[in-house]
Amino acid sequence: MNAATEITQAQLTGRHQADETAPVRIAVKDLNFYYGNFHGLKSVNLNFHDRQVTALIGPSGCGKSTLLRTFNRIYSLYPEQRAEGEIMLDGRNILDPRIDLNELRSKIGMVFQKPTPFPMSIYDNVAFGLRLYERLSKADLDVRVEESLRKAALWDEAKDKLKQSGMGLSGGQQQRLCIARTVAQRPEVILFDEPTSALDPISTGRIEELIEQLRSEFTIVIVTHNMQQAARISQFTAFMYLGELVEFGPTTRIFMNPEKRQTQDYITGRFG
Amino acid sequence: MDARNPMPATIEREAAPVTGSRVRPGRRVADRVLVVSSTLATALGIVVLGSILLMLIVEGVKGFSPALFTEPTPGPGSEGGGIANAILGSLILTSIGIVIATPIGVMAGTYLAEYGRNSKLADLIRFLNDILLSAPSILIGLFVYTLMVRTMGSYSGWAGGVALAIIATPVIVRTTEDMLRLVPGPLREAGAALGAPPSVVIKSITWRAASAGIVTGIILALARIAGETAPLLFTALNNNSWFSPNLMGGIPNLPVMIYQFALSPYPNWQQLAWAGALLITITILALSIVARFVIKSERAR
Amino acid sequence: MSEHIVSSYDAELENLRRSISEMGGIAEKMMTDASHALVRRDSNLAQAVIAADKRLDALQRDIEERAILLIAKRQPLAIDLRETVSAIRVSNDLERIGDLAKNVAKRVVAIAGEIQPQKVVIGVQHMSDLVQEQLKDVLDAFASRDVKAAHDVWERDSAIDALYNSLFRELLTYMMEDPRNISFCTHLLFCAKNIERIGDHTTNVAETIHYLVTGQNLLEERPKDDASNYATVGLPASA
Repeated sequence: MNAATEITQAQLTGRHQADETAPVRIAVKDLNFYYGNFHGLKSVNLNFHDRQVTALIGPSGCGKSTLLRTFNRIYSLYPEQRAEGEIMLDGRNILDPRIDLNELRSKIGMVFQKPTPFPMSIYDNVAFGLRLYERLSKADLDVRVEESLRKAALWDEAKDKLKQSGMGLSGGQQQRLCIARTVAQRPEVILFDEPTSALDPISTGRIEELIEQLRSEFTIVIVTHNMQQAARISQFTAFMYLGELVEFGPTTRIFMNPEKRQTQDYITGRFG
Repeated sequence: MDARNPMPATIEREAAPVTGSRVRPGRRVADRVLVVSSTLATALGIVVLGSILLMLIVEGVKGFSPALFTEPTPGPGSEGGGIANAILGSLILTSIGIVIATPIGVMAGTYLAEYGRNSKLADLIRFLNDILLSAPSILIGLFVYTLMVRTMGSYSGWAGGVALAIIATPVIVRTTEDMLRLVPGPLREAGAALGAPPSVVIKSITWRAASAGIVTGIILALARIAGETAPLLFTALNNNSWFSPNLMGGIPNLPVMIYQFALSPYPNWQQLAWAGALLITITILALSIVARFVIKSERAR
Repeated sequence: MSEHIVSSYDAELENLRRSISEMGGIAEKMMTDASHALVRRDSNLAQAVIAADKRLDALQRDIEERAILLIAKRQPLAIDLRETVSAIRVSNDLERIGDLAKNVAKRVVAIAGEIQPQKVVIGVQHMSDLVQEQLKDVLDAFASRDVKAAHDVWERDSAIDALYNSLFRELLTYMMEDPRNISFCTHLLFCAKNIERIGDHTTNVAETIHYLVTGQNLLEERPKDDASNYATVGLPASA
């Protein structure tokens, strides 16, 4: 009888439960980040588990987006920004200057706050990343585009207008198009930078459902200002404040019973 | 305390006389004065512009006839004639100008907006470009005269085209840069995040995103040089007959034609000048309207 | 605990707390009065207890409604969420305590005219005193968020169970001795059972306090000494 109860328990919560035994996909060690003279991240140490959703939360300017932007080194577009320390992915340090940025970025996808469809057709949007590094025949490309649009739950809505501009889609559809574009490259990690803050609740629901499904294939890191969203979709949560990592742990624990006073104050809306 | 505060406020509000005005009379007067004076200024501007246009249409339409577009400019004292040679000359000169200016302008604008965003060199170029943008066009005519007409030994369509290109380039540089800067940063980041090198991001994303704006800039530059007279006085000069296919020697063109014919004592020349002026105005108006449509279609997307 | 950025949020939580303590006060008084009414066979006092239950029920519904509204409006997390959930739970327990006290009072009215061996009533009164103390302690623990005090109540309840067990046997014996006692003793037995149930609800509240403060549910089994579930008394051979 006991065994039967346990199985039901696992079925009930298993999908969302944090798997602390999952292998570490990204290991951040003693990471410091500078915007010119401003010290944006202060020796952050943090592990991201494989095929788990990790949410980064904290007030504006706490460094959560900064942390996210180090993983694909997108910050290096801006010469005054620099990172020091170690971010290990597949046994290599991402911050190593010898690393091929374009290759790194094809392995780590990113979805932004505002939908960023390129000014081209839906098909070309999805094929954009594929054409960069893969020599695919037209037929193969078609297959990959369809596969990606299906994964992003956009195929049914977009299949009849693949040749139309991606800018003509609704906000939520545009965001899913961006996810499809990212998924098409078959990355290992997908970074979401407040992906639903510009969307209405229904589109937000679709994106959340999508993230839940993508988790079976990708390691996901998401920055969000919406506490309930973090609680809903993530397995792990990291709370950051003033460039420091304050608390990290399974999402259920962080939101039901955080250890640190600062975390509790923030998630319950007591911050000064 | 917060709960108690609203009470006095409500009482005060109710206590204020409902009929009495809360605005000092002085402010009402100031408001009226501003409304009236700005309306008057606008009306004045419209009247001036309207009368110019009206005069132009009334005088210009009289000169419109099939001959205007088929016959070359008449010699001194001869009757009739058209401005066909000047129209064709103007078309060729502006074409040369815009063909030279477009690639230079777009490339330089791209450099300023994409690569040299924060460099000192870019700041310097931007500064010089702004000076060039407001430089008197006669100065540019003189410059090209020294550079090309003197060395080549003759006025030419080439020199005229180059002079117009020098006027058009800064306009295109400026609009290209401005339009590229309007492309949201995350769009570039999104391109880079997919692993696209900067050249690909610029070619396939930012240029596309800014294309309508850039095209508008080019059209506006075209409209600008279509009516330029001063730089052509020293470069293309004018000519009262057809010009040679190698574009050497004086090339007839509308602005200089208008300038010369309007000053002449012959009534038929003056009539042709009016007609030419109307033609240029219509062309510039048409170009501006096209530019607006390009911007609109971009917004609709 | 510092205040919320939204001050009305604080006010709402504070109102929940206040209503709970009002409910606690009413339940405590109902329980004490019911017990006094039983001992003194005071029908008037019993009627007052019955009347008081209305207010308690109304408060419970009100707390539940406000807590649900608060969840819908504020989506509370961590301590706020636990506090809201605890308010619902505790108000339920208190409402049940009120029902049980009311039931005792009804029985007091029913048995008011009967001859009663005072000795048995004393046993029930003793048990009632212990439960009253438990109720008071657990309400204090809730107000002061005192896990230790709550845990203490939680453990003390096994004494009540033991006491109930012996009362059960005693009452059965009386009934067998003289069938005229049966009606009165049955009522008394139910009163004792009700009081024992009140004790159980105080342990529920104690568990809620543990959850509220620590964020974890009490996992251990509570020690239970209520053997009356299995108790039988053999018929006297003569019968």
